[in-house]
Amino acid sequence: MHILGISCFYHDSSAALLQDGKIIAAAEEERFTRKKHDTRFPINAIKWCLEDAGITIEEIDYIGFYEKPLLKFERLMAQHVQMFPRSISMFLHSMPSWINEKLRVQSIIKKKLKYKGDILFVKHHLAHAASSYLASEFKEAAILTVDGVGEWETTTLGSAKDKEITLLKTIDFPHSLGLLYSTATAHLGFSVNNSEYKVMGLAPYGKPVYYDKFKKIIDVKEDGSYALDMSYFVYHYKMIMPSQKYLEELGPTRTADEQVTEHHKNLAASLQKITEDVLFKMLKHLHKITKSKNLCMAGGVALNSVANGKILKNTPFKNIYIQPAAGDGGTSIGVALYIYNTILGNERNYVLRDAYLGPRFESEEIQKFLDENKIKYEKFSNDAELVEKTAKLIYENNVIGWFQGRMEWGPRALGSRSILSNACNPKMQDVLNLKVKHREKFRPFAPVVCVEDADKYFECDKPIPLPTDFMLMVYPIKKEKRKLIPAVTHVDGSGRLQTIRKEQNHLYWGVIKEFGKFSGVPILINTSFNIRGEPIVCTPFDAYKCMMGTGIDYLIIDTFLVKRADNLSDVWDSEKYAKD
Amino acid sequence: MEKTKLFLDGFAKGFGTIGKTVAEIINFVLLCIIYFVGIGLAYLFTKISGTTLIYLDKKNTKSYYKTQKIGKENIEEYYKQY
Repeated sequence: MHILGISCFYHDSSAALLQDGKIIAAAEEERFTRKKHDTRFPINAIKWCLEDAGITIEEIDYIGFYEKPLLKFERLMAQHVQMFPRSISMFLHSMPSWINEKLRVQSIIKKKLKYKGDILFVKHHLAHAASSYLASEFKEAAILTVDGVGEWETTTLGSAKDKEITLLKTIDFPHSLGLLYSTATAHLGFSVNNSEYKVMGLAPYGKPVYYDKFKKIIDVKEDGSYALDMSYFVYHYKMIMPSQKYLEELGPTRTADEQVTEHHKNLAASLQKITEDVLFKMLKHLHKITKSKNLCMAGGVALNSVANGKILKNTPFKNIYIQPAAGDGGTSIGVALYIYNTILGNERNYVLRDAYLGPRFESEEIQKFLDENKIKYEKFSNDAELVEKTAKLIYENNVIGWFQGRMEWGPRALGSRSILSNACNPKMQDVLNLKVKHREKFRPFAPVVCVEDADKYFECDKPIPLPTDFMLMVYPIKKEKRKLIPAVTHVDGSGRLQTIRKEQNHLYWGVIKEFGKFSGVPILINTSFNIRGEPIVCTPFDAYKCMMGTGIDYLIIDTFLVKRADNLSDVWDSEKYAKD
Repeated sequence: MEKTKLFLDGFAKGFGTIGKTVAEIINFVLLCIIYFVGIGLAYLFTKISGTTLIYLDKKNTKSYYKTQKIGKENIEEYYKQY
């Protein structure tokens, strides 16, 4: 049986293909179109999924869509009616896409895919819940989903047993923890639905001096339920988010090119603190009503790795699972699993243990690309040589583009499309920023460590939860180890680590271990392989283009080594075209 | 021949731009009519009937959770977009 899950027309379009209960292919549309957070119908991702599985659209038994469009439309209409006539600009802005796309989902799917079969629509937060629980190893669990907004719901608390999921309590629009975080992101001069993680990275630099002001904005009950004071917001009827009152209370909106000051850092710290407080209270209540020791989380807020890393210490839950694409992009696997397991009642036979669900390229294909484009390269004779040479190059402070196997599912680079460098070099952050990333100075780089070495360097939960493999948990770095890995130690002594297991990606694991032999510290910097403002690379062409447009020194692509200095005729300056 | 082709291409492009602009203006006018007539009437109706569609105010309550039971339904329900 084949089920195709689709998520699109809001942000992060994606497609996922399920075969007999197992997700065999999944990818976000942005990787193919090279447009970050692409919202369009994921035709390229779908075509690739079908091609990868070697099937045609006629062999798809069901297509699942990640929300109920008419319920969402009902909520939108309610907003316009309630806020009449102040909602006119929002109405004029949003209606064309509703008329052209969102209300015609069924016909668009049938027409674009020439599909004649059944299409099922699953509620947005159920798709989120399923994307986590049905991909986890738990046989029963409590579920928390928190995002901006689905149809009406912005937060749901639920429970699951075997194949069944039930959402028990909800908080509805406009009261939304996700939208509060997005409002603060916009207020701090960063892009909404894109740069929330920057606010999270900024928070440790500040003190939560505005915590009490945020407590006026969000009223939190003992059970974690909350309501926003909507006089601080205008997102329910305008295309902007904070109201005049919000600005009067917390200062003017920072412009994108304005310097980040203490005030901005303190705002970020206060927001992060209130977010964690609400989450922990909700989770304690969730535990009280479900009595489960297992927790599954999904929704954009579940990408807040700083909060995630504190959950097991601050709540009664003992185990946690979050899948790599916890945001809206991840709902395509959720809807596919929900149809197979819950609606059709098939037994669960799948656990998402690694994120390698995307396109892969065979050696012959890569060599053909290199030869056809007259790119100079060397070929490794075996894995041991590849691992040793890569580790040595990293130890010598080179910046490495690492392109191996299947592309990652979700927003993080996890060792298939990564940039790797030396975490022990105190100057590496500056080198990476100068050569490749051009990031804001306050943003930390992430460490990757083999799972068996993690607790030597990090104060992680034990046993190390699977979401740590997806870079979804921030943990403190042990005090005595911080000076050993200065390039990945954040200002508060924490690190957003990725743990890697040999069975997930043996080459990546091998390079880290080998680097440990050279340096004495088996930890690397792992950052996403992309040009600033672009999605992570997908194809060999994207990878080569990225290397030649930035200052990456070497590209290790499959069994080939490409040196930038050997191909200087292809150099270009990506920063001239970079957009954030 | 080349000049004629260039002229025709430019003409078609210009015409396309005009067409797009006209369509946008018509869309704008139609949407304004729908907004002020359709949404406006619905707004009046809710005001007269005292209906609240979206709860903006904080309630004086012990909990803000809405108790629901969203879960497995009959398969027919999943064919619906609502």
